Amino acid sequence: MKSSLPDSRIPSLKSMLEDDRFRNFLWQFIFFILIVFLLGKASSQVISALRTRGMMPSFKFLTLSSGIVVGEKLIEFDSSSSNLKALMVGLLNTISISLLVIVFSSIFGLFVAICRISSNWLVSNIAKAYIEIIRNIPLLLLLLVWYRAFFLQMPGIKNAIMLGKTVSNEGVTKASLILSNRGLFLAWPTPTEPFVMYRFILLGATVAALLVWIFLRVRSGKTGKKALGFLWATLAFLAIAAAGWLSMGANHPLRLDFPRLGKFNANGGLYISSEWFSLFSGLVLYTSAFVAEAFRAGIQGVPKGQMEAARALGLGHLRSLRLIVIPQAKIVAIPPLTSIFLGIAKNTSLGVAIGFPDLFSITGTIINQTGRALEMIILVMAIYLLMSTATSLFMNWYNKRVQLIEH
Amino acid sequence: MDSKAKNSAFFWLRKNLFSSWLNTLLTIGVVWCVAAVALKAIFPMFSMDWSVIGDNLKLIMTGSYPADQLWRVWLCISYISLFGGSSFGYGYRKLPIVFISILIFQFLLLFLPFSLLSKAFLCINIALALLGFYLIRLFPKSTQTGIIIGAWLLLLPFTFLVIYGFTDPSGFMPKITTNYWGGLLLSMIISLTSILFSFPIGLLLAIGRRSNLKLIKLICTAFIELVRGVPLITILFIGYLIIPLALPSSLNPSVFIRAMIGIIAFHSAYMAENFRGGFQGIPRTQYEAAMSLNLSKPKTMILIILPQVLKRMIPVLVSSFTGTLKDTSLISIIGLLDLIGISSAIASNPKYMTSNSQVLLFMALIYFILCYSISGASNKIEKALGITTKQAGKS
Amino acid sequence: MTHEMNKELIIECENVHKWYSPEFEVLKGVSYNFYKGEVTVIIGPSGSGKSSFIRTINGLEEHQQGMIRVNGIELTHNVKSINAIRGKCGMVFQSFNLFPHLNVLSNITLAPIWVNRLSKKDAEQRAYELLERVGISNHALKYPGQLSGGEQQRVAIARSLAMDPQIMLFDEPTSALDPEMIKEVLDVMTELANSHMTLIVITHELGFARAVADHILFFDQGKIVETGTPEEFFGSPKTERTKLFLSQILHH
Repeated sequence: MKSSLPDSRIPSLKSMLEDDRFRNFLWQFIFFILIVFLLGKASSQVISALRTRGMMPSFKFLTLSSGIVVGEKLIEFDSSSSNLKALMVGLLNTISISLLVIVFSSIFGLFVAICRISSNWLVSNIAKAYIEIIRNIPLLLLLLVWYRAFFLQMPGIKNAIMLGKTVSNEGVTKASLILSNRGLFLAWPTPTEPFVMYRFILLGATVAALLVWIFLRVRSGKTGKKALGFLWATLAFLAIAAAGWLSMGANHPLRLDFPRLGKFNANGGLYISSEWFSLFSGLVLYTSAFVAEAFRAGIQGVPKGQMEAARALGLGHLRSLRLIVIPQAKIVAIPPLTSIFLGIAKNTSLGVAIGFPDLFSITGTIINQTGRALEMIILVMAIYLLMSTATSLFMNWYNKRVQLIEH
Repeated sequence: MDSKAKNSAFFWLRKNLFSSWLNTLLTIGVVWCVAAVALKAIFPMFSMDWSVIGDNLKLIMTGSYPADQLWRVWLCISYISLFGGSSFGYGYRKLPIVFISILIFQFLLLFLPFSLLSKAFLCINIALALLGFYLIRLFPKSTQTGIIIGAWLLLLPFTFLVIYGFTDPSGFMPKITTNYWGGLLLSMIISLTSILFSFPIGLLLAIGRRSNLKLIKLICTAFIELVRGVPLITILFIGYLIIPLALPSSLNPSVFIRAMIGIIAFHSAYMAENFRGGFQGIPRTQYEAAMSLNLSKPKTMILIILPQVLKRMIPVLVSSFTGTLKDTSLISIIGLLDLIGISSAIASNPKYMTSNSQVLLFMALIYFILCYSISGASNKIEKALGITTKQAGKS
Repeated sequence: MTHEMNKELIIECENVHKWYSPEFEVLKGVSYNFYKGEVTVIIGPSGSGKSSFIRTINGLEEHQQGMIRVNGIELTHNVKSINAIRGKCGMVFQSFNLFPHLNVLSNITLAPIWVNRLSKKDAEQRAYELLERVGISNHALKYPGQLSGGEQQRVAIARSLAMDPQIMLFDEPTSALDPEMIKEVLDVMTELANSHMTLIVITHELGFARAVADHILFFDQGKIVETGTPEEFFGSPKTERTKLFLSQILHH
């Protein structure tokens, strides 16, 4: 009854081919060879094709000066800055606009979702119409319509809409607000020389605020008393910042920069270009529709009995919503929200169609200027992948946090 | 309250719009806003010059397709009419409202100033649709299924054959290369082709992702996650810039082909994710039952698992068509003159430079009608299938 | 039910171990021999490993250590041996596991047509015979969703029988059924036993065990704690564990 191994320890080929595990290995081996062969062939083709054009793949071109002019930038940049810096500008533009879109579309989407489930027929159906329209047209078209049919229809710089207009002696027109088809200019505080000192005061204020917050949280943890930690921290910050400001007397660390009207455009203050704003508002408009549907599914996914039970316990309508319904709604809503948020950064790439210098747009420009298509595409795909992965990880972590604990 | 009061419009208004102070305020506020928007944005639309649409209709619909060959495009539409009618006849005993409204819509189009050829074909299409609706009944049920499925599968090869052509220029169906295709025609062809190919490729990817062969699982997962993590436009750029480098210089794939490959690759990854959901709905015990009956893994997949998965996937497939149609609009960025690309072409004409908004709004309307109808169809199919499976459920 | 002299070994299990991880060992050295034509009932608390045990016998799950031999063929990684063994064993599951997209007839004829290469005609003929045997020939063209639990399980039994197995394995076949349907399934199983089919049955139905079984195995914590004929087992259980278990289940 002992297990009968064949006497020869070396298994025959036949028995190996019949072995489950060997077969698995063999299939994988064949696939491996196939993939390596195909990829190898393709890459060698690409490299040799590039070589004939005199462009061996390398990333050195990134350090070369770009010669690109960019309309919006969050960091210092001009046409002599390197290509790498140009890419950074694009990346920062993409990230900043994506984050803002996420915030605003969540808010607006929630609002639309609440409208959608309202008992008022008009409100509910207008929300429904909005959602249906957005869902059935391509984002590109929406952006184009929004940009061309709306923003570009704003008056030209000569007829710009202005608020708080003043004309100086030299004939320079300044205003608090200048709106034209180039974009919006707003008077905005800018740092002056004393700001260098003021920065330290601000830093101290932040540290103090943090300490206040931590202290209050710890104390509330120990005593169980509710602590308005955030409120006090904010007050502390403002108090110290204000004290610092006053103490500097007439040397204001910030001064209001008023936009000046020029021949073709304005200058100074905060500049929100038509491109930025139409991309931003277009994306918010687009994304909110999907966010609204996700929220609606979430809210309607919570059994009615939950609300009834909460009310039966004496909780008010709003409090029931906040403590019982919305936490459970989150669970249902998070998976679709995840894919929506993942899509936002990718959707910003459509800025290329309306001239907004997002990451992809700048990539296209760099490719045009340097011809380094392969390297740039690899680079930009890697960057997008990183962003997707980061967002994905965050949403998964958040998802786990809100999931019901089941056995 | 008697039923008369219940049904009256007054009662309805009270309930839905004015049920409380808040509601009343809301209603008034909303009506005011809607009126303001209508005055400022909607009514001016009617006074805009819409002649740009009429003048460029052929361009919008078919791009630079030669005008004397348009009958071939109509031929494909006739194919769709015939078998669309048959599909309705397959599913319904009596003429359904949707079907009738489509026919009425086509009938109404006859009154618009289209060419004689177009009008002739519109009449032919209406006739073919009705013909298909009634003729399909002549066949036994199983043959009907075969005909319907076969017809839809053959739609794309047929379309390609007819639109591309196969004779030399003097023949009756001269070849017209893809750079002449444009407008709605191009969008539809690319979307349909994409679905046709991304369905099986996505399925294979999904199966590969579930495989217990680690390498295959790795490759499929890597591909799916890579493609889903980047914007479509980057994939299109890869197709546009790098495919020509990767292939031997003898092959020179047209922009059409390169865009096609990019779109198919993109949608295969998303299809794979859809399938993944479908597979996860099949309980492990189905595999075990098949295993204990000594069915091999391939046979299990084909005979047991796939039929169940595919059935669930049909509404997803139909609704993904709308996604594909919308995504296809991105090919305008790499220079293909699809529906949106045509708008730039029209705008470059100095005569129509100021009419850009009209063109874009018209395209938005086209997309809306197309996508909305397809989603509606998908919902109907889902309902129909749901009912079918329920009837096979507990009686 | 069979004489000692006619005993023919059909399944040998020697020191079978199965683990999912170093901490989680589900079969801890199980050795037992099954004989042709006999009915063996396996009972025991949940988690005792009995389900894992019979699933290793037909290769549905892997065992890491030990030897299992079915009708002389050893169960290894050899694909041919696995197929041969699976061909000899039929299995009936707790949750029936019928294929929902096929009707009853197709459920039964699928494997014979595609694995055993029977013609459609032969397969259907055999299917009707089996449906007759389990008592539901009038439901042949219905879908699983239209049948009751008891009817579905009987179809499942017919489906396994269609492959002409020598051994039938039952993994708690009646646990998911409403009480009024349990009898019809047990009746079919009794009929199978009477026709000298080798059965291995995991069940909580002790009445069935007492009436039909030739041997009873008591599993606990991955091991066979006690074996015996029904008279021995129920009448004079040997170990404390068995006595405890019996007292728990016989008193409700």
